[in-house]
Amino acid sequence: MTVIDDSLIVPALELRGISKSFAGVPAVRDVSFAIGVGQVVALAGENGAGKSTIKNMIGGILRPDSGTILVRGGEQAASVAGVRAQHVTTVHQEISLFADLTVAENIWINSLSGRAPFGVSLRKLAARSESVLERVGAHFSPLATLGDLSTGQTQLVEIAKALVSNPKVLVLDEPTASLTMTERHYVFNAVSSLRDEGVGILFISHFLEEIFQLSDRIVVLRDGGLVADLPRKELDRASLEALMVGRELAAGFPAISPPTDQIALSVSGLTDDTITDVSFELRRGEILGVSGLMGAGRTEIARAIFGLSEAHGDVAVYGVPLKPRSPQAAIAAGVAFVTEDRRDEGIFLERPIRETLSVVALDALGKPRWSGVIDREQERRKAVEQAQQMHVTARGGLEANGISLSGGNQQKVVIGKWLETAPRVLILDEPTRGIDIGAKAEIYRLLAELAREGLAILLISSEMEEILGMSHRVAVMARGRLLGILDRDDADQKKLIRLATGGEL
Amino acid sequence: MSKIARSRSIGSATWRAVSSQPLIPAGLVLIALFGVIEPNFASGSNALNIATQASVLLIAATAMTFVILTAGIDLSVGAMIFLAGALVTSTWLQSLPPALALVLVALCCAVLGGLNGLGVAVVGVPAMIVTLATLQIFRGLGGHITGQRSVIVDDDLRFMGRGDVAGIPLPFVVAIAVILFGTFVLRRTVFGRFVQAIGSNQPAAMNAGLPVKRVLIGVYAFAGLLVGIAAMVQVGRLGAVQPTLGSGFELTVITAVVLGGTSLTGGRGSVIGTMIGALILAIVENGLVLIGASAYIFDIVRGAVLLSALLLSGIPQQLLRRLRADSSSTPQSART
Amino acid sequence: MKLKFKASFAALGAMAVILTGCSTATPASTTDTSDGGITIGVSFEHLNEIRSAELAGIKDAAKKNGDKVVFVSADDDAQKQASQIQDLIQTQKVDALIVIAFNKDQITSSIALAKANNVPFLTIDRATTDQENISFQITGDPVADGKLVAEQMIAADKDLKVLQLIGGLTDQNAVGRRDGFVAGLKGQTAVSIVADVPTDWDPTKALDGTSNALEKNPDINAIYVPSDYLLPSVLSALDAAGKLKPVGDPDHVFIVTIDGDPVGCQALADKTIDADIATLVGDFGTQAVEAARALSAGETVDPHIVEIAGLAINQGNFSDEKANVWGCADVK
Repeated sequence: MTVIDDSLIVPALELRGISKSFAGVPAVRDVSFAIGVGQVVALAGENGAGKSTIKNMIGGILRPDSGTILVRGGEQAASVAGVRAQHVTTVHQEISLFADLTVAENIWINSLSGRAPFGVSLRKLAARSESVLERVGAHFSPLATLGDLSTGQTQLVEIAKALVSNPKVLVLDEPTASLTMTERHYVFNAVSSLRDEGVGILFISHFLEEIFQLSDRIVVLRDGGLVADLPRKELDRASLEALMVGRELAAGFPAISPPTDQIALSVSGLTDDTITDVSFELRRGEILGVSGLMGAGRTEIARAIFGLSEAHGDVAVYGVPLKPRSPQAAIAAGVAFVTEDRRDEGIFLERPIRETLSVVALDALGKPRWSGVIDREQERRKAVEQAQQMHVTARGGLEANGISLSGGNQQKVVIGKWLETAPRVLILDEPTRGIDIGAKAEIYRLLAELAREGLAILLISSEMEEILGMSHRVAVMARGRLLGILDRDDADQKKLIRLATGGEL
Repeated sequence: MSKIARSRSIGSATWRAVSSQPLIPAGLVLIALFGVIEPNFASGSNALNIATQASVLLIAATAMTFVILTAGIDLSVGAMIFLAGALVTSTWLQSLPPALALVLVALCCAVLGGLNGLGVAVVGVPAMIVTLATLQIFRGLGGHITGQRSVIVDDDLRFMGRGDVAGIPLPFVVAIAVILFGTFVLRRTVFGRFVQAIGSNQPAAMNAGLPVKRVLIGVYAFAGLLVGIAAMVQVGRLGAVQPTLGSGFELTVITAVVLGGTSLTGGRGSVIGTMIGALILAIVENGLVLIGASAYIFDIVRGAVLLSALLLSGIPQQLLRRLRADSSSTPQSART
Repeated sequence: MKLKFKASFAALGAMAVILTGCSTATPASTTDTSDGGITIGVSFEHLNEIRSAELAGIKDAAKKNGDKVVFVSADDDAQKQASQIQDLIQTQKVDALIVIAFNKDQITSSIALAKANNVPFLTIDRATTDQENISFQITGDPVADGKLVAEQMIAADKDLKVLQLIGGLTDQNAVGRRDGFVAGLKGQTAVSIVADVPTDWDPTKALDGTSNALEKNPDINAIYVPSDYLLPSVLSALDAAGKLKPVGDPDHVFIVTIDGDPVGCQALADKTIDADIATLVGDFGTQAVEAARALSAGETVDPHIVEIAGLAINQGNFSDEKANVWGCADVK
């Protein structure tokens, strides 16, 4: 691989002083960087740092408010089609393919329009698709219908489609998010060979390992501004994370205080379609981690306790049996449940944030209480208090819709809505999935604080580091059964994996 | 460390509801246009005329707003008006005092609406299917009661459709009362909040332990009650119950609601918006007659209004969101 | 909740049973007559007041001749009507059919079936799309009815400013009644149309449209109502505007309607309206039965498409003519 000096030749793509605001809120501020010919530049940053906005400006979907974009030294065209004609190709994360067409048709869709109306031969298209599919490591027929493919395979089609456009600049937005290890390998190879052919590549990814593996230079964004533009060799993982977050991460996880002996939640013989005879006890002030592979029955335990599924067995909260089980009964007993899918099951995206915060405890806000007429002053005051306690960052205020929040802040709001009910047992299912490092750290601190105040917490997570760092004890699930509970000091990743995969200790 | 700024005062919430209606300018343009072509249009007595003619639509559309806010739909509205009218004329109620008879019919409509709700909430059949079925049932029952004839309504059962309060026609007074009550229920009560929460994100509402089924049944029953009231007014105004009474009315009602900015996917909308949508429909119908438009123009305009309602339900929401974001653009919290 | 679920189903089910009970309670009924006559199958799309009058007309005519009538109602279901007609032809072996089609297009297959079996196919009241293969058709004459309305207004011998209500613009009947009226006003100046209100046969639109027209043209002093169906709406609108005055009052608004149903007859009797053009549904039956006898005897009927104008009844001839109008039978 040859390292090419930017100053000697015209870069494939150059951004000069680009700024962009949405409704007065700056998304990108005065960003300048260049992608050399045959260079892979990684764009790193937390959610909301401005990566997507930059991607969309490069693709011509958005126009910068100020600054210029140069494509091989020339002015960028003013339309999406024009930009495409300048051989700038973007592979979007949100897949833009047609489920009812074949793979071959999808790959060549952009070059079909110029042809004679009846001149499309599926057979010819398929033949022309073979080589590009091979190049991205796709092992399916070009005649397959796209809708029949897995998400990872459609991602490969998306990349193949980008390759046939003969790109000089290629923007890849999270290209590996849904790929298997083997498929990733092929994508990496394809990227490497494109680089060798002189294509300038902008690579956007959340996976820091991939960034280090693929890129020549790393551009770091934070809050819309450029904070670093450095050769890969000058960065390591820790310094990159620090640049992205803007502060040193608290060393690992917060300290958690020892639990009490009082039993907050006892579960015995819990059984439904997925789980079998699950029994455990959770003490006041304790965080019990629940680990296991996908489909091991972790989420089902939570749903069964909360009364969202029909299950046998006994559940008691501070000695009082929960019977019959229903969400209403669980809430009345002081149980709160933060589901794994906050967007679809936790927050009201199209309603004011205030309403999500108050919805669980709304009955208590009646004035007079029995009337069902909401005391709005009290509602507002409580929502503000809760949001402050949770360190929610809401740029539009609490009257803005839930959709305006970043993933981390949505999660804080969802946890916050439950704290309005002053719960005694908190069940969290994948509370930090898909949220950025800074917000994760804040949620960890919050959980530690809540546990210290006496809340009993059941923490379900796929991230083993999180489980090991945040729990007093760790329960391991496999195939619907609870195989054992390890003390924090005894537990390590190897043991968890061995148990979760059915091995003996 | 972030701070949450108190965003807006209570009074501005009302303003926001009104200002988020893209129709107000459109309505003003229509009024100006009709007023210029036909001076009679802008007269006070014509305003009362429009108010009276809009009243049934206003009441039924308020009911429909609640249903659509839960991401549901009620196609049985027109048929229920017919059935309620048929009940009003039925011999069973002849012996009762008129006011009591009307109350009984309204309660009956609430029960029938509750049946719609049971189908939707408990059986889990899509609202469109449930209410399409009950549409036929209600029409059939009404037809059975009236024998598919035009039945003249006794004068003493017509009081909801006639008379006035201090010069304001009683139907419009009833409509305004229903709108105020509907707005209050939607904006100020726990029930109203639950309605919007369920429409916005039903799984989230379930997970939050909200009584989703009860609220849904309540919404359809409430809608039934209001439709019953709308029927009293309608029958009172018409003076007769006829087999086509209310036929196709559900489409007009849905048009008014959608015109008023309520999202067909639920969760977002307002009674005030619906009111404006309904008034615009009534203004169009009235104005077309007054300017002497040809009969064929009526159909063209009705279609155009329906189309623009459907377009409005999609596109301008994004536009509005942007406009609203603009007016509150200053970031109200410092990032860490 | 499970219990409620069952209860709700039970309630819905009960409603459905009541309904189907009502609608299927009209099995084929046979009118016994002496031998010698023919058997006439009668298939109506539904049975209501006016259809009952038409059926009575058929039965009366059949009785005189000693013919037999087999009647079925299709409950507004085109499929049901098709199978009922098939049954009449193939099982009941009727000698002729008198039909009112639910759907004027879909009935074509039944017409073909009758022709294939050499059963004369007669329609009354409503025209079918297929005019070639039917044996006989008798309907009202909307254009002539409209002209009769014009005559009634001109005969008032006053300057009338007329509000014209129009049924549905896609309905031949409605358009005919309008065109006939407009044509009937040609060549004179006393009676003029000052406003048109399309109603789609919707009583609400008739009410609101009439109110709006009265608002715009306060000098309207006559209303043409194309069907008694819309009459209550028009009267309510007049009432609301304070303009509902009996015939003879100087401020009376001159009203002419069409149909001659009980609502119209009662309004005539109450001196609320001035004239009604009554459709002679009884004559439909009489003429259809005559044609059926002739056709089944192998004769031809010419012309085979007949339109008959209605009978104008007004304040002058009401007491003489009311016996000839089906809707006036129960007038107090």
